[in-house]
Amino acid sequence: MNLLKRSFLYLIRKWRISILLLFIIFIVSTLVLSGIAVLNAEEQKTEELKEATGTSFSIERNYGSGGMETDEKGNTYLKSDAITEDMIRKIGNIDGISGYNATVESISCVLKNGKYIPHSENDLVGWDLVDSGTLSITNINSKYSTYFISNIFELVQGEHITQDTKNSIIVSETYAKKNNLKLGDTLTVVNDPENDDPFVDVKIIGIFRVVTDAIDDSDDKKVYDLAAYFEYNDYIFLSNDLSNKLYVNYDDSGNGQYDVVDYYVSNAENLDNIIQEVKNIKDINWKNFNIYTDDKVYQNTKDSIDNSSTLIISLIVIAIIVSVGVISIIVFMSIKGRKREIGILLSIGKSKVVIMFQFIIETMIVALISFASSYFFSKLIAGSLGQAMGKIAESVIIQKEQFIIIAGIGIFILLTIVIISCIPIMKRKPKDILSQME
Amino acid sequence: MNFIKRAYLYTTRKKLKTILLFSIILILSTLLVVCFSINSSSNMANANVRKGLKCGFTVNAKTLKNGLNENIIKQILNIDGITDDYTLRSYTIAEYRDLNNNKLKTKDDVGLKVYEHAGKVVCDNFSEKDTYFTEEGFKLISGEAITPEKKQVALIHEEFAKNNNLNIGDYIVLNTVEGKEISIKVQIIGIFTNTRKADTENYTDTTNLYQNTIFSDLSTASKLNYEQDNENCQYGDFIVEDPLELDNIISQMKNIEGVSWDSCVITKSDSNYENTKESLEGLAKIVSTAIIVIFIISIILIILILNLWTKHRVYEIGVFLSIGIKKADIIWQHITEIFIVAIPAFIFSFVTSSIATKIVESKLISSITNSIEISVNICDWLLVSGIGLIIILIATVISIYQITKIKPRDIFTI
Repeated sequence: MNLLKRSFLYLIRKWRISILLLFIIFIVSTLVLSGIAVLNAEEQKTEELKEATGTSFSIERNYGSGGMETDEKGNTYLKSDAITEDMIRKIGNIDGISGYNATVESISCVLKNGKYIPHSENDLVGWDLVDSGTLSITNINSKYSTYFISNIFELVQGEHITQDTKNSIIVSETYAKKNNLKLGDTLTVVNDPENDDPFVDVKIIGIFRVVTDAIDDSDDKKVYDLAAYFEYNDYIFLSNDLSNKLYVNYDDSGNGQYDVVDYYVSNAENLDNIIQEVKNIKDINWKNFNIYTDDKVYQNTKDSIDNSSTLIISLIVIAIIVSVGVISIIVFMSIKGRKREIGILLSIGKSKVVIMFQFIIETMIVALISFASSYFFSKLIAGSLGQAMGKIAESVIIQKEQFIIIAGIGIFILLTIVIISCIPIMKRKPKDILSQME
Repeated sequence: MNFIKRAYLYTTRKKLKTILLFSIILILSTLLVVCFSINSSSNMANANVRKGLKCGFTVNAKTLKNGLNENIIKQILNIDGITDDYTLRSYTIAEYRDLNNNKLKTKDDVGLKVYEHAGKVVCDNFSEKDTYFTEEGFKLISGEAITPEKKQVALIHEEFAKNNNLNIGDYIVLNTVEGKEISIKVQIIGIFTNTRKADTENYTDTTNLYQNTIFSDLSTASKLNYEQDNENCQYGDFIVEDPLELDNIISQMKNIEGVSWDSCVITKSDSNYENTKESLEGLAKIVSTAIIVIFIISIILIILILNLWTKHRVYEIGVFLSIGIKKADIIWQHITEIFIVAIPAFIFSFVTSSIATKIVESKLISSITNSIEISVNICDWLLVSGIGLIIILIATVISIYQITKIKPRDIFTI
């Protein structure tokens, strides 16, 4: 009877024990695989959390480096270097930046079907330009606008403005209701109709809502700027291309020039490195720009976030160590319990090495079946596991490569244990073993 | 030979088996106790993250006749869960004069003129926490900031100081511009400047210009706004320990008597929490899911192992049955054996899990503001031991019972 046949026969005839062993290895490998899945999910969530702290830096033109000038029309403007679109894109391409936004604020009038449309609530004075003029903000990525980032506004319909959005506008729910507007409608925007400014047609691509208990319009802490003159509900967000189309008559607004750009980083840990990289960009004269960082929230929560992930990692590491420990003891035990059989095999003239190989083959058969089924089982439960962990089902699935590594390590560990368990038998003489038989 | 003696002899003579079983129970119970400890520490870590988000709310009591008085503020601060990191603010517009009643020069070459020689007076308990300094880029260039002990003091803009030849230590007079005329003498204790330019100088009225803004203290504000010698203020910004409790705390505050809360505007500032909420809850769920999975798997594992354990003793049980020992007696023997091993293992698991938690603890970042500890909770340990013993008992009884059901003759032929 050859080795392989003997192994099979043992497994089949002692089916109760085989099945138990199979179950135990299956359960342990499921535990290890779900542990790895948890670590995958943890990594992703921690990264998300770090990104959600809104760590950012802003690049602002240095107002002190240029001075002011007044043009022939009487408009005063800054002479210092403005931020250019080229510069914005160059910095935005640096690894680790999740998004950026630059805005141009102005007061613009809005028309529908050639008629000026009014504010959502204000008493009207009867002068179209005043009744219709409202705060307009062009955005490269409106998702990263301060208003949306700080949850003062939330987008309820449609989509945000991105780099590729053209001729688009986002208005408030209240404004839309008042003026009977809906997604897809076409409006016309003009900066100052009395200054020969162009009229540009735009499409409504999004509708936002003002989160009312997050703002207090009457709070005096509000620093007086352009935005302070208008109700939040009347703000309009315009796509960035419009800054080049609307403000053609003004030297310092739009036309590829910006005062401030905000960059959000995906992993706050890298903020310093990213800023260093930004400063290394050659053709930018940093005397003309200031960099401000905002990582207050990250700094406040950093240690606790790190602790939280240390705890999860420890938990999984301990569980894996325990699994390996338990499985070792069990394999060790089951070989110990087969002294009688070893004795018989020895007495019919089988060599010790052959006996050891039989054990190895048996264990491998059981292990391979267990590993394979636990892989499919954990795939099967990944969905519900992911749901239990909150909408991250994709990330709890174990990668094939990970599984192969785990299975490899598992087989190696089992092999080592079988060999170690066989050492006492190898050392003893067959006579001693036979005399010890139960 | 009774079952107790038999059990004792088995455990002592089969030393290796005893040690292995002891190790398995010890390892698994340690794992479970550590799970519990990690669960509570991770809740602590999450609470620390939420605390670090510094969420809170603002009470705008501008419409109240006398604003918020010290007694109300004290009662608000006494609510559980409100931190002592708070700011109080008041605003007014005042005309600036020198001690000889001469009007001081303010910037008026841009903007809309409403009041002349006047500006916005921003009064804080801590000027450094004011949004002008934290968000608008104001910077103190000399002197000191305003703190609660300072009374009748002012911080003025560099340009205003230069134009009026004012220095730290000089006095100026603030005069109300509306209603009853009230004036108060304040001492200049600091000079600030703005690092960014306001984008609306042309649209705003001159009192809002940075150069015309003065920072002062709450007693000055109370005098100018309410003509009272106390520190009543218009606004209070409070920070809560746990953003989850924010709504609850606000409704508790509204129970404070003597304030018509309906005329106050209360705004929440919890965008940090709103932004991080999903990931935070996700992390908490990961921990609880992991722990539940580990728990269930450990229980299944111990049942399977005990089953396997007794399977190896079919032969022995057959011998006992054949020499006429009762089934119950055999079951009792196994129960005694497992208890001899399990009870010390559970007791010892307290030590091993304490060591394990110490190792985990050494990996945690501990700073003063971030108090997180991990230790074995005796209740958790007792719970794990208790449930563990019951499960082991049931598993043993079932697996032995299965074997004793087989006829002795069959046992020997297996």
